[in-house]
Amino acid sequence: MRSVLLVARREFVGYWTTPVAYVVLVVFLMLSGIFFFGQLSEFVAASRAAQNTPVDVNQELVRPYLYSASVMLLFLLPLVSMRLVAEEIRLGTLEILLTSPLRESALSLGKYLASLGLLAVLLCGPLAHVLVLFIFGKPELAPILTGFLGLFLTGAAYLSLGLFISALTQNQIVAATSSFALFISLWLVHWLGENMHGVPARIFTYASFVDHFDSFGKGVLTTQDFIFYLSLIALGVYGATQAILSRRWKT
Amino acid sequence: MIEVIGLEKSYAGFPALKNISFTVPEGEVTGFLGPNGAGKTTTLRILSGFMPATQGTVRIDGLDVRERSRDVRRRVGYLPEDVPLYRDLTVEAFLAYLAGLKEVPRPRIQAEIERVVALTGLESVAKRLIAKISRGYRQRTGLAMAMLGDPPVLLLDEPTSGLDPNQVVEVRDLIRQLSGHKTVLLSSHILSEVAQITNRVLIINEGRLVASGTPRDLAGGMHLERRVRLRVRQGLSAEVWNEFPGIRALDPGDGSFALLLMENPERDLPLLARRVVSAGLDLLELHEEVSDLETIFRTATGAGDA
Repeated sequence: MRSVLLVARREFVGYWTTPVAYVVLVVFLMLSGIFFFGQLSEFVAASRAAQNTPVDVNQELVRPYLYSASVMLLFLLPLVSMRLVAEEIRLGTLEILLTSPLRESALSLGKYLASLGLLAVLLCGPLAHVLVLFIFGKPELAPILTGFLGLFLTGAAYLSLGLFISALTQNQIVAATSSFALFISLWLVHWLGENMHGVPARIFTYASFVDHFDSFGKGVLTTQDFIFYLSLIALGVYGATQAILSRRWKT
Repeated sequence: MIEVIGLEKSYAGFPALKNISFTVPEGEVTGFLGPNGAGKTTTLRILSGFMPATQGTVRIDGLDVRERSRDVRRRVGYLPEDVPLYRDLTVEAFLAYLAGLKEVPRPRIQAEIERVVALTGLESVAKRLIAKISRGYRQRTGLAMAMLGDPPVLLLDEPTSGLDPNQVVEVRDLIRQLSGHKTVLLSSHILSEVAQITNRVLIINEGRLVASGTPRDLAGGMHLERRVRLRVRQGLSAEVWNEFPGIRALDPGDGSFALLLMENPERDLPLLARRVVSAGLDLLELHEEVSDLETIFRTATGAGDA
């Protein structure tokens, strides 16, 4: 465990020594601010139009906002995950890590924890936006918390798969592009599922983020959704560990 | 102690190491010589646990590298070729990170860093970013990294590469000091360096171990002529050695000095000494030079006729 935390700390600090973390943070905060402002404006307009009928702030503002945030993460998190292992391969520092007593699993887990740390920092932006709503109104807290949990798990699944892809190449551009393609595929398969019938439809729909993320947004926590996210996370970290192990054989 | 038995390594079917066997006894500094591309780095990478062999057995202090990889890695300090370092860290932060990964107990880390920094002469740059220090200091940082945790076995791949002449001398002295209490395998393609640091060499060429032993053993085994320096006060001429069929002049000198080649110094040296004295010359020096490593190396690697 000590080595996992050592790797995680080194990686997390390492993020802030390159411009990538700052760029991702600034772009995410800027875009999420714009989306929040747009969503809030629509909500205010809808409230005015509804006059005395109350408009559900969770349903009409928070849920679509978190959905937008998950799409932003889809574009930005490949930039966070691309360097995780690829950078070590490119610099040759993987050799010093793999000749220390460090386990391959500790290396991938440590790297993954560091990326989760950066994800947590990123999500502070949307969290601050949503907390502002409590100053002016009384949104329901539970769906907000589950929505953020869903957003965090979606980001965590992206990062885990991105970690795996990063362990397959030493080229960060290749890692980022491939990760983006994979993430977007995991959204688009839902559309494929909708246009199919029977078992393939169920498989494609289940494999997509759409329904699982939506459940969290509605405030519904199901074992099925947790299993989906946790399976993706475990798959990515395990895949990365195996990819690092296989590097020994390829060298 | 390092034991290598029947080591083979292939890259996509191409054999890089062919049936290599050798032993480095405990506490001995051994040189690992070979031209570029001979297989030195591949061998060291297998020994360090970085990659597996295709065939063969490697044991470090009795532990099989494949079966007890982590235990072996705990006992080995490895300096890779072209030392890869984190350029965004200071020397101290880098060593602290690696000390943690090498399982140095947390309360001992600072003292351990201070020890290796002092050993490798890194005090003046310890707080500087690795990106901002010279190549020589980076090489020393790599050496400090290898020594973290005081491992009993050190594998050093070209440890003096990139150092200036003064630094080379310092690093050589440091490695020489390790003799007796550390088992060191040191690769180099610089013959003179290995000759100065180690007393035993392994010579590898095209993936095969072509020679091993002390330079003296190797020269003897290869039946190489051995050099003898002869110095007198004055009056030296070829008549002194011409009567011995096993002696010829490499450099007949200027009347006070000659460099001779001897087939059998054990037999001819005393005879030559007597001849010099009986010729009435003042003998100042009669000294056999161990056949230089370059000759041994060129003979062992088949470049001797080039």
